[in-house]
Amino acid sequence: MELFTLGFASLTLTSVVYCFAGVFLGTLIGVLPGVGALSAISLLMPVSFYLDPTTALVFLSGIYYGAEYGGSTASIMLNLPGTSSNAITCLDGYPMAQNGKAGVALTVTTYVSFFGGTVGILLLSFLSPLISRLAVAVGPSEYAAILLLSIIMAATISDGPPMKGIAMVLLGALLGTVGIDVNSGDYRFTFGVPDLFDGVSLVALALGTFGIGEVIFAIRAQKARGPMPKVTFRSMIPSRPEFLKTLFPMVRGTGVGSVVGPLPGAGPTIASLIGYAIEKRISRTPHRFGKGAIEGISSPEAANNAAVQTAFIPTLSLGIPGSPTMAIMLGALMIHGISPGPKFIAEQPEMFWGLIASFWLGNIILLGLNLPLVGIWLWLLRIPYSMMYPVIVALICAGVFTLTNSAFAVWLVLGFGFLGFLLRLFDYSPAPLLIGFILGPMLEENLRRALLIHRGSYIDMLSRPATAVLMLLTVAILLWAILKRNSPVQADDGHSA
Amino acid sequence: MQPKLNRDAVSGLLLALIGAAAAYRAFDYGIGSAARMGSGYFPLLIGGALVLLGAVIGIGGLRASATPIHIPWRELTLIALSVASFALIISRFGLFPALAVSGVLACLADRDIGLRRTIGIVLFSCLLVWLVFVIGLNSPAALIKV
Repeated sequence: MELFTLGFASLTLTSVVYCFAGVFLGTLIGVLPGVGALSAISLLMPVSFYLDPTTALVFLSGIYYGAEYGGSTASIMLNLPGTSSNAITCLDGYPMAQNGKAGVALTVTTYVSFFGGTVGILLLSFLSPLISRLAVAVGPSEYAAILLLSIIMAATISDGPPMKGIAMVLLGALLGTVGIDVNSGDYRFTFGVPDLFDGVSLVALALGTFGIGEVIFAIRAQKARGPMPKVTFRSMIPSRPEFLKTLFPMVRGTGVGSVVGPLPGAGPTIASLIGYAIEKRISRTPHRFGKGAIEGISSPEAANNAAVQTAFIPTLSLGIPGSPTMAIMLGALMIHGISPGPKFIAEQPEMFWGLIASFWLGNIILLGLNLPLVGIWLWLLRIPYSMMYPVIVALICAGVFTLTNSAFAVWLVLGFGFLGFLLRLFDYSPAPLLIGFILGPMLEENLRRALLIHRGSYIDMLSRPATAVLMLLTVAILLWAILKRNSPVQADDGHSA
Repeated sequence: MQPKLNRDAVSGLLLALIGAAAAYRAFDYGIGSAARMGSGYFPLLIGGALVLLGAVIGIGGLRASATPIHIPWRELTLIALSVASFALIISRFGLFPALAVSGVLACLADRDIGLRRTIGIVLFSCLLVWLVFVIGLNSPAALIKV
């Protein structure tokens, strides 16, 4: 099997070290509320300049899935989610901790995370080569249709009203057109600023809207933290009935995460919400949920870890990132001149399988990191946010400056930070903005090619069956989104880091 | 008195304005035809859609009433000043002076951070940035310029 002949064989000592460093850093970032994997990966993207592409990717993805493990710790101990996909874990994790079950909750979230992650990697290694083989035959019109479908899905599935999501992807796509048009050589929306000729920096956009925009509101919001319960190693071992109760939710959550993970815009957060909702609905004792039901933490934590791994499927097999974090990861690849797309796995088999091998390794390391080292993570949680955010701001400024070696990018961060502030003020989510920014230019390019082939006829383009089916799906999702706007159903989690 | 804001009406209007401005500029770039898209074709499409959507959101918002709004002025101003000061100082004076000034401004955003803690945070930031970016990532940024 290629995983062993190519994957584990291609892992060097350096990449193993970076895998460890990545998941360690990821756990750290996951544990700390207010610091997200997206910001960390954006800041550390320049490592790609110094490492070979496989090692860089191993390192950056380690941060990504490592954060998912660590994220539940703050949910359980402080009722504050470490990352947004752990928000739902607060509902039952925190009451469990209040009932003296903090240790058990930490153990449960670790092994269900491992299970979810492992199944996710299995799916990733079987499905990605299959999908990319199918996708090689795809023409520009189908590719444009897939991109449009992804954009609309990303806009409507993510939290908040779908209309606002669509507005955000459009705004993102507009930002994506800034710079020299590769096709005509025209300058678009550069306002004569030479620093904008190469387009808006993705890293500055991500760090501004997510990083700075978040800090402004979080300074006050993070002040209210309760005292933390004590955890001893003995209290971490779940009893037999507790263990048995987590098994089926773990399997169901993994199933949900595996299906939802690859969908653009959905990802781990949505997966954990659905996982929780299903457990509550099928439970014979739904009234226990919200009061420390162990099923309420095992399903969502399995779901988000499965989703984190399966999110790599569209990214690696089609070159279509479904989330801002994935987009940054692809950006790191492009630094090396590797353009991700359907041919990626066929052309770079060592890199693909090496990456998968590192995921196995990383998940095993995480299992080890989380259980015995729990004391370190709990100690970190005692650091108040007021001591963290100035450091976050400093890292963002210095990081962006380092990336471009010009002060202009720092000004961009300031501008996008203000944009991020406005978005939060007006109840918009910045995630679809970034997805539109990434997928917009890809859509433009493929639309241009498709229309060239079909002599400018949209009807002709839609006469290709695959394109027509994809477009119908897109229209269906759009209609559903418009109808959903008038229904009162709201997800019950708040905004979070 | 708590200020109020009709979030959807205002944001819808803003989005529609941005879309309109982009679509207007797009004409200068050349629309071309569907078969031979000019560089203004796609921005016109996106700008037009944004106008439409902004209008829908804005008009939908008019039916609702304004809700109280809470703007964290102190945090907003000081964090903005912190980033701006970094951008201003970095090119002329180098990394450490930029980190020191922006760090102090950032700490002022939270009124509970005392002087001693501010100094500690700034020193820690300098150390961390130096380790990560200068030592780790080989940044060519000068630490201090005179």
